[in-house]
Amino acid sequence: MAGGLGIIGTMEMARNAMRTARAGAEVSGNNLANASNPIYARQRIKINSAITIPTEKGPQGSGAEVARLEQVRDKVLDKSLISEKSVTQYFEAKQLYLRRAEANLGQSIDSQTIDAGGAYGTYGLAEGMTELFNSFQSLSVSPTSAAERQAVVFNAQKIADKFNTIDRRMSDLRTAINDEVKDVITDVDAKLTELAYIAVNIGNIEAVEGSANEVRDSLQAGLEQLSEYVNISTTYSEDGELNVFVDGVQMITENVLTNTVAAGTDSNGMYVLTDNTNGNAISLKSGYLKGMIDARDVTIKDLRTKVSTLATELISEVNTLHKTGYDLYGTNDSTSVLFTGADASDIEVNSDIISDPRTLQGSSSATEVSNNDVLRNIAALNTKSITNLSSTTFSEYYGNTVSRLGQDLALTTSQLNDQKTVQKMLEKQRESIMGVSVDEEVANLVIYQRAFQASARLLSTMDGLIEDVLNMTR
Amino acid sequence: MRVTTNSFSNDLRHNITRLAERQLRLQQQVSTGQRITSTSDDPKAMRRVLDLRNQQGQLRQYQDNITTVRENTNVVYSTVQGLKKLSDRAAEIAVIADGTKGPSALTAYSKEVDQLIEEAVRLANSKHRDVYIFSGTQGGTQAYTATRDATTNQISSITFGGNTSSAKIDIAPYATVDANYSAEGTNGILKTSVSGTDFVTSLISLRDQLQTAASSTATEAEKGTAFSTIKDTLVGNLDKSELNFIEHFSSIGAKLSRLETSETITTQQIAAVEPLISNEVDVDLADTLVRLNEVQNAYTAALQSGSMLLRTSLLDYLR
Repeated sequence: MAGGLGIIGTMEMARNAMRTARAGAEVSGNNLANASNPIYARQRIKINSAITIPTEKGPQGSGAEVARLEQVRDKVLDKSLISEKSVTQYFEAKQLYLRRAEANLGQSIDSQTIDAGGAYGTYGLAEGMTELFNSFQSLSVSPTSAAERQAVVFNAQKIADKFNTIDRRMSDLRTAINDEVKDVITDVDAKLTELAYIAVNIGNIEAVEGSANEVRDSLQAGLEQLSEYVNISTTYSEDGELNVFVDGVQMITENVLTNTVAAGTDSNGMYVLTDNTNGNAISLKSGYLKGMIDARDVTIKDLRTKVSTLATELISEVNTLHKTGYDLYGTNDSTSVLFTGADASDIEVNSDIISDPRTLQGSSSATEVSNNDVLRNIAALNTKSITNLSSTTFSEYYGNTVSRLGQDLALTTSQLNDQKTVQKMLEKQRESIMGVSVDEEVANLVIYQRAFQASARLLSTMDGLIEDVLNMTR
Repeated sequence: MRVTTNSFSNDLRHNITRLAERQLRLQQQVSTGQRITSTSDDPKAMRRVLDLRNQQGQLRQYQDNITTVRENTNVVYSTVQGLKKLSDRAAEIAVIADGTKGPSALTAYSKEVDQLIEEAVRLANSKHRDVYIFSGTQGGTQAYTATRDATTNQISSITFGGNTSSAKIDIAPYATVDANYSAEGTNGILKTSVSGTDFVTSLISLRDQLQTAASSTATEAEKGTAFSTIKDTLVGNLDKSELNFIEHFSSIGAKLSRLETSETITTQQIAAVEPLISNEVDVDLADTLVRLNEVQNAYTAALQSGSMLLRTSLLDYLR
């Protein structure tokens, strides 16, 4: 017995080899088709040598066959990206809304202004306060001047309007963010349902057909999308079933959606993410949702409060002095105020003074119309340290508030840039591992083509041998 | 490192976005000439700029205050000048109106002095920007109210309606000047606390003495008393008034020169703040343009190399 495969066995081997080469070409084709699909992880065939058969001369190989299709993924990178994307989106949301807050505050510099009269080109609260106190100063020089009185009233109205506008804008911004928070929570909930569905699918497919490669791509993409909203963590059970936790609260248990999230309200009536089972708020650590909530409940809220405190103190300081004065008619109304209202939301100029600026109480004596004691005291408020404003002056307090917001925004921007670099690096690494290279696939195609051709040649050679054998008996 | 097809496009996209952002920022800086426009551009600089601009705003206001005070003071100065002219003429009449002059000449003098009184009261009641300039802080009330004789309609006496206080005006941090002048009081323009300096009363008395001296019904004794009152008291009193006016000239002049100095200093201070703001806000144009150029070059290079790399693959070389 000579042993070995024999002619027919070799033809069989050639057929298997052609099948293997074709499978390789098919996988390359699939990779090429998905070259531009960002969530796709490239696949490759694992080729195994076929069983060896014993011969007199020793074991002999019997060709090759496709062992399995495998996906090239780095699980560590996948996991890192899930958490890093969450952090990136946190800064992204924070930056977006702080930018809006900054725009709403409307404090900018335009040094190119060509406006006459020492105007600043832009009108923010800083300019407003300087102009208001300056107009009191001007009036103190000519206390009886109708024009100067009008200027005081006008500047007071202007700053009151500015306070109202800023307060309304901040409140609108918070409402807008709040509405969006609700939408995002709905999205998070939908995303969890979708993930559980994908996970179950993977389980079903893999129970019978091996690795569910494409569905795993969708799962990873889905997890990354969810992590952009909220910080999540994932674990896998011993049988490879998925568990998903939103900030430690388990939502998916072994491929099954066991809990959901809902939009609850906090003590201020603002939407927060809650655990639907027990109604407890889920405090997040990162993600777009956390960024929005932080902007809404910390920075913008704080900014609004500070602007409002500024208005409250301005109202109280100016009014206290104004109440002591006498108007041009020589009367003192100890209840007469320049500003009505209590804070930035409702500060307004007393309508009686608007209709008759002569009733502005600027003199310290009933008979002395040219007396400017009260007016000068009000003008001097510009440089007075106000106890309730952390013992700073109005403009210092406002300057601190503005620069605090600016620092917050600048810090968030630089944190975002750093974070983007980190994410970019990880994505690059992952792309380098799982991405499709057209050049590589085309080269593989050529290899598979050649292998196929060679195996076909083997088949035809063996066929020739059989023919020769058959012809021998003629 | 394994480079995939998407690596090129991803990287290119990332780099182009970053370069475009930088171009936009630099272009904004060049076109506005400003390094910072909003707070987040440079929060600390913004804080300093807000302070500096507030300071500058205050200084501008002091400048405005000084301008207004100077204007008011100039009006007072010219009014006092007018009063001094009246006083000159009155003193002249007081000297020349002696016993050698006939009744008609004396009557003419008395009529002239009467006009001087009218003029003096009118000047004392001068208004500037609708404020009586010699009423102290009671600028809404006229300085002198005249009581007139029922038959002759001549001014027989005057009552001061203002007060002697003055409002303070800020012309620099912690520096003030007095804003108001008063016709009477220690430092009155027409009457001080020193006896005999009451200008208008002296004029009234001069007119009345002249009328008596010119009167056909007065006795010689009465006329003699009239002449001696003029010689012995009124000439001296008018001199005192004149001196008072001159003193006011010099004090007003000193005040004007103080205001002028303050104005110069304030202008210099405003000018000194300007470069500080400019330092924080303004962009170094040359530097920024060079940087813009660099970024533009990088951008063009990225686009060019990108389009070249994205176009080619192994496919181009396989038949």
